[in-house]
Amino acid sequence: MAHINIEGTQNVSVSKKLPPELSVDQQLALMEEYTRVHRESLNLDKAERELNCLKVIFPALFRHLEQQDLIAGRLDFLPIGFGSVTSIGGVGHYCVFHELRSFADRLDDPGKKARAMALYDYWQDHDVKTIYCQDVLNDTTTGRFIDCKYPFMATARLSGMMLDYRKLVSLGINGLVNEVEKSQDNAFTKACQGALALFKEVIKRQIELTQEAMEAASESRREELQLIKADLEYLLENKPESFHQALQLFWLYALCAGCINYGRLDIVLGPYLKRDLETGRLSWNEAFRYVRSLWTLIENRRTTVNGRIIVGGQGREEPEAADLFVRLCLEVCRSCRYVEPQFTLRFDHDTPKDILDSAYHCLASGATYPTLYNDDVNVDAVAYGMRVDRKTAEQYVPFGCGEFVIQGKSVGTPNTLLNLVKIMQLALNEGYDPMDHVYKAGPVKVEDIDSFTTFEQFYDQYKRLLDYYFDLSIEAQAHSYEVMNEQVSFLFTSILMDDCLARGKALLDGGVAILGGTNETYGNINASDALYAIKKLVFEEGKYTLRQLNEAALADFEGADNAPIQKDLLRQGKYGNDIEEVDQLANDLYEYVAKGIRERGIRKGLGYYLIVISNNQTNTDWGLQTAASLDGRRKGVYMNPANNPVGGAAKNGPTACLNSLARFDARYHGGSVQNMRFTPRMMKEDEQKVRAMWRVYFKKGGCQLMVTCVNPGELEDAMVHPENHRDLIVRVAGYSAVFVDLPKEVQQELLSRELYD
Amino acid sequence: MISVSNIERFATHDGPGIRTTVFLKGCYLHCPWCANPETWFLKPVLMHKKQLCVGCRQCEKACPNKAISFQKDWRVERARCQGCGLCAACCLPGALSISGEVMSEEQVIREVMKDLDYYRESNGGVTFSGGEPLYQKEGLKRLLSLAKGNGLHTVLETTGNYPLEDLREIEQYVDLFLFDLKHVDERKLAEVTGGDLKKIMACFGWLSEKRPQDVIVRIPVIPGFNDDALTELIDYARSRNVREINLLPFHNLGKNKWQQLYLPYQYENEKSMSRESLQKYISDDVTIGG
Repeated sequence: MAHINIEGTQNVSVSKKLPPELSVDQQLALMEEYTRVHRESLNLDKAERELNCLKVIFPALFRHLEQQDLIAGRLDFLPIGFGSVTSIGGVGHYCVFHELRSFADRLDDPGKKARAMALYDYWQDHDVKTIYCQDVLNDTTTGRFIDCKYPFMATARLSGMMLDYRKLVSLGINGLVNEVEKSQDNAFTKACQGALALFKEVIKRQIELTQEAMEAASESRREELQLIKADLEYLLENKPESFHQALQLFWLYALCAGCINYGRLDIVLGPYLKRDLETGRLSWNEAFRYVRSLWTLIENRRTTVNGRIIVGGQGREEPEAADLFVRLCLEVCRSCRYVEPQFTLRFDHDTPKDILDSAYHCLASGATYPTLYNDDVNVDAVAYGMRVDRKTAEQYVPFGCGEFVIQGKSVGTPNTLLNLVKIMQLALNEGYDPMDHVYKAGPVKVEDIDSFTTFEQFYDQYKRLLDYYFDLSIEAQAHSYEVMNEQVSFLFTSILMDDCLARGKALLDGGVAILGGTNETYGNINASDALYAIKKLVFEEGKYTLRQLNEAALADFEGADNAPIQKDLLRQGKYGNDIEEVDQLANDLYEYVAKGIRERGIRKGLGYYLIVISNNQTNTDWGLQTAASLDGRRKGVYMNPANNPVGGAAKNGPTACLNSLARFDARYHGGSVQNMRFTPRMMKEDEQKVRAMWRVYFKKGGCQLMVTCVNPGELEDAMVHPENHRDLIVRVAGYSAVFVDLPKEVQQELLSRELYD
Repeated sequence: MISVSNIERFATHDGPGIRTTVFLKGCYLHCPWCANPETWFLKPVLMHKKQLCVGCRQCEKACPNKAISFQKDWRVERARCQGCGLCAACCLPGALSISGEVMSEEQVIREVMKDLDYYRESNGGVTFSGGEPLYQKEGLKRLLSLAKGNGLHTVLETTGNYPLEDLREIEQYVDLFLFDLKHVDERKLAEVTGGDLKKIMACFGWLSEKRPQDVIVRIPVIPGFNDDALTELIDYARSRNVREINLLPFHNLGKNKWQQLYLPYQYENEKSMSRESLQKYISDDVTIGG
């Protein structure tokens, strides 16, 4: 097969990142050095190669402390390097080709340009994701993420790793070294030892940087830096004793591991906080400032859809201490106007009232945080969905846009994405995608739509196509693990994931306790609304033939004959209005897709493989390249967000919408997010009613809720006068963003959603 | 069967807790500030958004009763219109819509019961509003008794402009009354709203005697009509020992509906009244808004 080129946007990126601190020449030299070491290590074991490469970038890419930092640790990344996720660099040994090209474009000297492009050529053969794409992508069914021409996209990444930081803080670095020593003696464990030694080098570099910062610092700042330095020195040989030390150790490790979701920090840090407050080692105000500094460091990484800090909920050994940390985070969250961290509150029937009050007021202030996760539903649902015991399920955490993993125990990266609307269009057009007239049905026999006499016959055809794509999906997901495992060990990640050290095996080499995975699905509700319209208008009322409807959609509902058909399609019942028949069909499609994916995961031997209806902005991006659909949506228009109603379709008020949302059985998905918008007036004046409404939704089985609080007309005004709305934060789907930074199409999708007042 | 204008779920201004408000059609009064003038028509009524109309005349062709015509502009002859909605169904730009639907009382209650869990959680329930709900007395009585049969808390928003006998008939099914008082000047009330103060006072007097603590008096504050008579109205209501008094500041949110019904709106240039302007009347028993 010809060489595949995967240059192009590879992740959703709204927030602009800080430029690297190194000079351009230094960056080029470092990337060359990385490439040289990689090349020279090609014949070594992958773990050793990884360690050699890590030594090139660590600690070299750590940058100076900023004036406000109360914890050390700022890390840059370059177009070439090592990582886990596409939000900061790429996966494994990576090259972000479009970034490298633009880096080369910025160089004036032709000689340097040529040097940069020579690296491009080398990485065409060695970038882990390219190697994967080479195997999986094709011209019809499967595109790279993000290339929206295809009904299915696949990628290699290791998203959402949330490590066992409790183990880190309770053992300290030397404790971890001992753990590795107890394990088998092999190339992987040797490299783990090397990684921990390298981690100490990183700490030593932080000590230097802190020392440097002291030179020009004011007296009060010097005191702060002195504390940072002393704690760093302490951590080199000891496990943390104080809140600040634990925070510092956790943060540096997360940076080295390339993790951008942090997980249940209340469990990790709560006990230190409690002890320090009790002994008087720390005041509440100091603790507040440390955590606020953490918030700023996370914000400055600007990963757009990640940065999860999760607090609250079931399965915490010291809930009282943990809740102290929860309260602290809520205070910090309210004091910042940041899009990250994605601050997440797990709660259940036992959550203290003051925490719920504070969370509500945070949302009412327009923070979009915390996002709310209902443990009374989710813990049992996760236990079933992932086939784990309840105790394990208690450690579920949502990452990124809302996919679940088990902290410290499971891999659950979403490496596959399905567009349910596009697949339905194949069912309507004998396997051809009307957007580009390419045949995308593989070996599935797709009947002419005139041959159907019942709704079920059409639905079955759609299901056969879905089945085919589910098969592609599981193969692509499983293969992503094979390719990543051939190339890398993910040393820092493996060290803090069960049961890598115990087994002496790297994460994807049989090390991780639960190798799961997730498949993002898009257009779920456009698809189910379309099914309902077809059922009513063609097979119950007989008002049109299926062909007539389809012809109208192919014409994008233009023309005198087609426009009335669109109107009829739009008039049919829509999901989100608490209409039994409509919601039932939506649920039927949901269960078909969710169970289809889940069963394939089980058959393939994965720990779990679940759909996530989580959504970043791919509903909009994919909608742009999806033809008109039979729910009345026109060609190129955004699709519905997550499992929420199509924008503007939910006309029966928030209770009706929540009743529809609460219908899907949470046991079959691995994360599903719901967005609602309320006005500040309603959040304030009708607080008790709004809260009662949410309580009912959660009692009815609602698993999650995200709230944007915005005034009527505010978003419209921000589109015209962006300069006046720099601090307007909105929840897009599984992430928050500064509204005026979003692309216009995404802004329009947000405007289409219902605002309750 | 009963003629319903609209069913609003999660209504937060029409009584305690989370409620569903059923707006019933038909009214004895014709207040020029009315925010829901479409409820004056007992039958489903055709509304036309002029700014969306492209003059394609599809509605004219679709109407089986020849109620719609285009001389210079779009026109409807209300007497001919049966509210069948065929015109609205074929109106592509969405300029036409039918407001209201004739439903069985059971159908209405089925819709209301969808939010039962929310009522229970918030001590809410169902509110019947209008129009004047008692305009369709028999249907209302059936709705109320079905609601009570289902254990719902019931609120009735009413003008009192009907024979006392009507109120006596339904009173036992209502937990809380939102009783509109607009003026104490008989002549002015009749002139502006077409109301009959004697009837209103008979109903209010009887009800506030019998169940004063189940009555909330609502006073729409209308510039140039009663904004100089508020003290008098409040004092009167207070003398009857009612539970509370709500002042509802004038707003012009109904303006579009008047336009869509082709009815002349007197408050075209009147701005919505601020809450602050009524601050001086606030006390323990007087609040602004419902």
